[in-house]
Amino acid sequence: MSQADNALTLRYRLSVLSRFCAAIFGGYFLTAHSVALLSLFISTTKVDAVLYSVCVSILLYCCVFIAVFAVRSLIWIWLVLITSILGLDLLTQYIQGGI
Amino acid sequence: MKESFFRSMTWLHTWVGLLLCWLLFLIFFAGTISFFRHEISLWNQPAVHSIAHNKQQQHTLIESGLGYLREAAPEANRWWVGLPSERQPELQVSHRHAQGEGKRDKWVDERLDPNTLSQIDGLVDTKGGNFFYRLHFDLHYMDRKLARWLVCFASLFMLIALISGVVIHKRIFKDLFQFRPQKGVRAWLDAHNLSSVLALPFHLMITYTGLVTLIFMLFPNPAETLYDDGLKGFRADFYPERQRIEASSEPLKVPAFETAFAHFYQNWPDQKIKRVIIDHPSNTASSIKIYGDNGTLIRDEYPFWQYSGTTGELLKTARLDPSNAEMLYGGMIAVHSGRLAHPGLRWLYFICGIAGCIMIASGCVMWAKRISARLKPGQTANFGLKLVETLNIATIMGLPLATAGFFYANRLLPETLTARADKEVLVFFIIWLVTALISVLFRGKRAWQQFAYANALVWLLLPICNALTTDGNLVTYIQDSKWVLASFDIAFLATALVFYFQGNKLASQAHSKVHSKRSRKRVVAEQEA
Repeated sequence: MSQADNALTLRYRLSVLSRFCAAIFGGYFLTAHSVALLSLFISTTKVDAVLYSVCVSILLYCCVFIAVFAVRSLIWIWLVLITSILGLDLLTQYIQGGI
Repeated sequence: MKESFFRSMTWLHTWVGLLLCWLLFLIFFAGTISFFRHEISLWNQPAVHSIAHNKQQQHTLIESGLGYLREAAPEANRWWVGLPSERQPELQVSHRHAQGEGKRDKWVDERLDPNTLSQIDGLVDTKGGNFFYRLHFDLHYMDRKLARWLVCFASLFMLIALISGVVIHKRIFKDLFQFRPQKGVRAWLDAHNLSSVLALPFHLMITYTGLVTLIFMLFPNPAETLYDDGLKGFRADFYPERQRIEASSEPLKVPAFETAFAHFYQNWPDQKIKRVIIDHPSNTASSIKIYGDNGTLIRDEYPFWQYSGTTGELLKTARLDPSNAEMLYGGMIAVHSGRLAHPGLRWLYFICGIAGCIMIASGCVMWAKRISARLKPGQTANFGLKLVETLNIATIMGLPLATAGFFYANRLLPETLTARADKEVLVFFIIWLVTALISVLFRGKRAWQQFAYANALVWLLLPICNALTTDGNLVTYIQDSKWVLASFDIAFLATALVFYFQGNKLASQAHSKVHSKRSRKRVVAEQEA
């Protein structure tokens, strides 16, 4: 009984840790790649594009962070985070002519 | 789904709030005090107290400032003249000397009385309000970069806690008018809600814009995407005034400074000037940089003009007509720093900042109370609870005590002490450390009460200490309409009063036989500073 409890707690703790990692690091990289891509789409001067992009970055980070805690399935969260980070990165490189 | 979202947000709010709440309290506390950064620098420098408000024209001041530097430091690689303002009565004249390869250039700062243009005697070595300003985002005794990342991280958690806090707040308006002071943990919750909800727009604004102030460290990606040399290229574009100008080996025989200023005064006659910098005043690389004053405009960077020191022609300007993006970004930083605020608005900033401190403090205390209320009779507190209780007392009670200590140190340390400014800071941290050590041993209600009385006593004696060590006191300040200095004394006394009432409240509870979960709402009201 107590062993089952411990196992449950450990599993629960690990899932919480994983969720925090997803929110903090996944959220960070998703935001970073999104605003990098966004800056390419803002058709003003380079300075203005950078400024607009960084100004919305925090808002984006918060939304991702909260979404990570609101969605139930942890696997789904990681899957979406990783694919979208890769996708954004590829798209940015494609637009810049890197590929 | 809706219910589970609500629950996940409640969970998120509790844990994100708790994990970094003491660091956040420090950041909020130091930030709140920093709204009066220049005022504290003034208070810490009694020699400046008697300077009358500036009545000179700005071109006279600039001329005399530059004249002073020409005499004092003809070989400096930079001259700096900072003009007096409403908040800083003195004329600042500084010069910088190169210290050779790999070493930081050395600044020499002087201050002049703007009306007599004579040097101010009896200045003491102090960091003044800049200590709290730096503490707010660089912390102390710590690598700057690491400190800023920590502060960013804590601010992000704060923003998440705020947003999830709004989500879990089902009855935001009902709770706004609800305060039940005698209902144990409920009272704490009410205090938490009240301080959060009333100043919510401020909390959201200050946290978001706070993150924006460090945004290029946090998200350099857009700049790296658009510029080949990344942030460096962006900075060169965005801050033309920060471009380094290399010295030339050819001495400057006939400076064209007057031609440059004549051109400026003729074309921008109404422009108020914040500061004038001359790079390499003694050789042909010489250039004059004029920074305009933003006054109460919602802007952060100053409009900028750069003239050649050899020919006197206008080389470049910046931010005379900022774009929308610059207004957005600069505006966010401006509302964060509050430099634009006149005294009334500044006090509002300060009060909202205090509300933020109360919000964080009551959150910390509530967590500990809830856990200890859940303990069964005879069960002892575990390490986590003890840690939280200790950190609560150490931060919430220790920081105001240490701040008072900083002010005492400023008045009582001998003027001739070497590295005096650092000693003042040392006093701050020693007092804080002692408080923390005491709170490891004593964490109960009695400890809160005695710390409250200790705080009341030191804040009460502070105006008396000021009166004994300087020429002025509350009565003369009011007679001479020195409102800034008078408000310091009044604020000290008000802080003492709040702590005294809090101590009394805690004492009356300790004497009565009521169960220990009764209200201690006063605890939260104590972080006046």
